[in-house]
Amino acid sequence: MRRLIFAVLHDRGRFQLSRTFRLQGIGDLRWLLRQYDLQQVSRGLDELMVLDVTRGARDHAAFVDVVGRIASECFIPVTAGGGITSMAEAHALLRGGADKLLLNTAFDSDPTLCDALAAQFGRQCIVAGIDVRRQGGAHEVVVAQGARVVSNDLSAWVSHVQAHGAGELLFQSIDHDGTGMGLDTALLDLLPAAPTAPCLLMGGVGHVGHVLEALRHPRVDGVATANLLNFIGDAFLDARKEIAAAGIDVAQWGEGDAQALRNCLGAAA
Amino acid sequence: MHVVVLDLGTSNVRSLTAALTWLGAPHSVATDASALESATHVLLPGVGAWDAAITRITEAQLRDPIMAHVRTRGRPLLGICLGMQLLFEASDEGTLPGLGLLPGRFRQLVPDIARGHAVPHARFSRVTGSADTGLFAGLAADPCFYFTHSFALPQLAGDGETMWCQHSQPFVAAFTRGRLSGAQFHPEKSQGAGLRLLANFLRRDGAVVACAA
Repeated sequence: MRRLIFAVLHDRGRFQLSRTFRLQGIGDLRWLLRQYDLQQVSRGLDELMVLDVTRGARDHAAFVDVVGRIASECFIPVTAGGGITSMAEAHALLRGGADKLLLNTAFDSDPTLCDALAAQFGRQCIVAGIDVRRQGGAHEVVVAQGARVVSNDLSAWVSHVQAHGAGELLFQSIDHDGTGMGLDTALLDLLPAAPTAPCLLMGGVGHVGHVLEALRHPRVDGVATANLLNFIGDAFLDARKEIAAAGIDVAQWGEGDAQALRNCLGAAA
Repeated sequence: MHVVVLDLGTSNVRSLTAALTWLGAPHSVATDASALESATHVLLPGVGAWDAAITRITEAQLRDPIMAHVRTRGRPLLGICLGMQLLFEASDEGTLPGLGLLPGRFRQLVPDIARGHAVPHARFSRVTGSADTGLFAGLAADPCFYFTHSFALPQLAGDGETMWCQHSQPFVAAFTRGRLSGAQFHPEKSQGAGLRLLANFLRRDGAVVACAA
């Protein structure tokens, strides 16, 4: 079954829109929870990502709080990450409500940390964020929010992150990010047959047609969108129905179940 | 009712307690054996590596109290993900013996990329074989649950409900054997379907005594 994922980008208390990795602050957690009844929204999602995209000094404890608040609103897996530099930070996120960790720059700056996290929590817990930018006819892999080129060979980088514990691969096209012009599925055609880990694609979703198009690619396990404004209300549920109607195998759940079960055991206390 | 969530240190306990809070089930989190005696139901969640979890169980001296909960007091226990695996004898993932409450060995899933089956198996998948009773009472036919694992149980002997999932090969998705239940998926991360399964488990009478697991 293919996956539909919503990513929220967090920078020191504010949630962001990103376009080609340039950020625009939209609102704080109260704004987010007011715009998005996350319990409701999550019924259309396979997964939620909460990513710390803070430029400059981070407040990790505050980020853990945000992840916990968001995770407690929804009964779907939550991936948290961005800027994880230590076992202690990873542990705090997992204890705070995250199920998986997104690592990106750490695969360059501290691969032994990635090894240690995979050994401690299992590789199913480690999602490798792989940011890619087109350079001439080629693709370069960048880290540190696009600031540093680490490889001109996407396949070699995929092998590197898999050798250091990555259980899933999230490919993000910087050129497509926030443009709404569609996902860069061509990225995945550059890969050898080998990566056996699930491949997720992010960057460029403008409407559900883009999601559909990408999910038809045999290598795409899931599509993530970080556009805060495109999918308000029941838009993810509607998108999921459209995807299923187009013949793509996505999970479907009964609607309203969670609400009906609220406090159902309370009388047994 | 009092549900005890056993915290082995690596698991995401908070999402499970959030689900219990939502359901209105009185619960506490325990890191040692002291709270187990008063538990009507025990939940054993787990993410992470097999040997690390077994080592934690040994260090915290949880093995005998878990046995006592299930076998002496005859009360229900639900293992989730790695917590389900730990109930069995062994896993390809580690070298240490499991709790051995049930016979079986977990095998590494083999990827089948041509059919879209990557490993780890990390997604919602359909679960089949359920009747509208027991753990799956009130659920739609072939409901979808969230899995994230690389090791799986290919077969399960004995009487009781057994639900299956298919990911390059068939494996046990959930089961009940006596007072023991297990879910390879995460009910606390599986939308309303998972909440309903948790509620079904917790509605089982926790006070029945002298029932062998």
